[in-house]
Amino acid sequence: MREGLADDAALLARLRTGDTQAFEELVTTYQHRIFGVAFRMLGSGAEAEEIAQETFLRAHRALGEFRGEARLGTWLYAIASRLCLNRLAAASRRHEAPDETALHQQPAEGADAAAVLEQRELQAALHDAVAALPEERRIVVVLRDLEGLAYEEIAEALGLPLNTVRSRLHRARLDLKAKLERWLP
Amino acid sequence: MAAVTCQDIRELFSARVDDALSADERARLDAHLATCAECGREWLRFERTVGLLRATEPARAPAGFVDRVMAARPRPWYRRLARGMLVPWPVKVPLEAAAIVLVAGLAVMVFQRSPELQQAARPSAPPPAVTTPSLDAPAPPPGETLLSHRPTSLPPATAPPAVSAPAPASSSEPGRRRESAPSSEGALLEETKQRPTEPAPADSRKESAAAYDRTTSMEALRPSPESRTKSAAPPGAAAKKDVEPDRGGAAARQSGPASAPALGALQKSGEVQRLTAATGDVQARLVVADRVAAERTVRDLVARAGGQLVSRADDGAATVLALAVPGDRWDDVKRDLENLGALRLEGRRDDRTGLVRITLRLER
Repeated sequence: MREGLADDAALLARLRTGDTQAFEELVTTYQHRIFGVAFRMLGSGAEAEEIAQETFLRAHRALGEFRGEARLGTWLYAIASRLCLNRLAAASRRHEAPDETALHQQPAEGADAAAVLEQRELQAALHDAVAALPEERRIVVVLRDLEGLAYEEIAEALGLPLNTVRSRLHRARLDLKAKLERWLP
Repeated sequence: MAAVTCQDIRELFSARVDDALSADERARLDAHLATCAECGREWLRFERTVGLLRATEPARAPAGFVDRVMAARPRPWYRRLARGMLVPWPVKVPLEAAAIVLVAGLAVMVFQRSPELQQAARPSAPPPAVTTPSLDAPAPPPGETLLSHRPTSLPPATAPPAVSAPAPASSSEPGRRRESAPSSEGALLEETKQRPTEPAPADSRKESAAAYDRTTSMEALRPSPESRTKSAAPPGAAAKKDVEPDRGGAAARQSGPASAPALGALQKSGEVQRLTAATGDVQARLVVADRVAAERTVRDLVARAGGQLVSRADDGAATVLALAVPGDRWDDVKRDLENLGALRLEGRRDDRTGLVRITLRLER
């Protein structure tokens, strides 16, 4: 979470006045992070964009209810996480093939072809390993290791006890370690 | 102190990565890793796993994501309304044109299917005769035009189609009547003043007749003679109100209904103007002892005959009255005038149809 509380308070004040520019700033600031959570959770770029867009629209509608006790980013993560888990739990969810292009086609600057290939393979393995995690563990590891939230923020966003967050995070890391044997010493 | 197992130590790995161990926990972990090669290797693998995760390329939202969110954002109702009103012209104009055509079509359809609306759209009947200008207008002062007090109905029913008699006026017409009156009356009065002691010559008589015809032809243009007949028929309180300022009109209204349909037919054919123009004029000089009393008597007898005073002028030496009486009552009026004083007539009216216009000069 890079934004300070003072920045959050100023932005929130502007948002509550209906300032369109403030809302655009909010979306611009958090778009990649919210999209990233959705993409790691759902594995589909299209679904991730849909969820990310819905996250911001819900935030726009619920600005009046946001009391400012949590940081804006945490609040957005909470909305996105809930939407992702609901989507995963929905029986109607389409089982699309994972969209790995966003990760697999990341160029490795200054590296030779073999290094680029190895890097793509590693990214694919990481993506698959995360996608293979149980949903309740996946969301924790995504928020902690990919988005950098503190334990307390994760507990607040997911509405979980702190110990549950710690436990799920540890299990998720152990699962990932087991799936990434090839890349480990 | 219980022995620390490798499993217990490995449970601390996650907290160790996040630097979330207490000093005691960290000391215990470090001591165990220094003595247990297996746990040390697992720790390196665990730490490497988390390192790989944290080094993952971040996902990025697709291009245009912010714009799409902003476009999908619900706007306040007033902004949605404003946006709807600010539709580009190429879109708005056809939409509005289509809306107008639709509304017009609906209006026509409703009108055609609603007999009540069609009935209401027909020309409405003028208001009752109680609202005729002769009732509303105050009595004119001496020397002023009396045109508004001319008969508002037809001559007696026994007369032939007295089409030259003015029809009852509707209340919607006073403005027009007042506009037209000064020109015709002014011409008549002007002629009278120019020749106060002599009978008006033939051209002046034509002038006054033309002035009178213009006013009567205006009356003839009024629509719906049936409705006028109905409105004039009931001699109610309004008719009583009419007695003083327009006795001739009131008397004429009593006999008006019988000939009203014929008048309507003639009005439509323009016969009114033709017959009015065909009637002749009579110049009369009446020498009386009291001009005021004589004038009052003349007014009464003309009114009783169904005629009316068209105009009045007084030059001090004589009072000139322009009168119009039904042709079939002219003999009675003439006889009454002879009883008032010394009457001398110029001109002759043998035709007993239509109106007889008399220029009566009262002298002492």
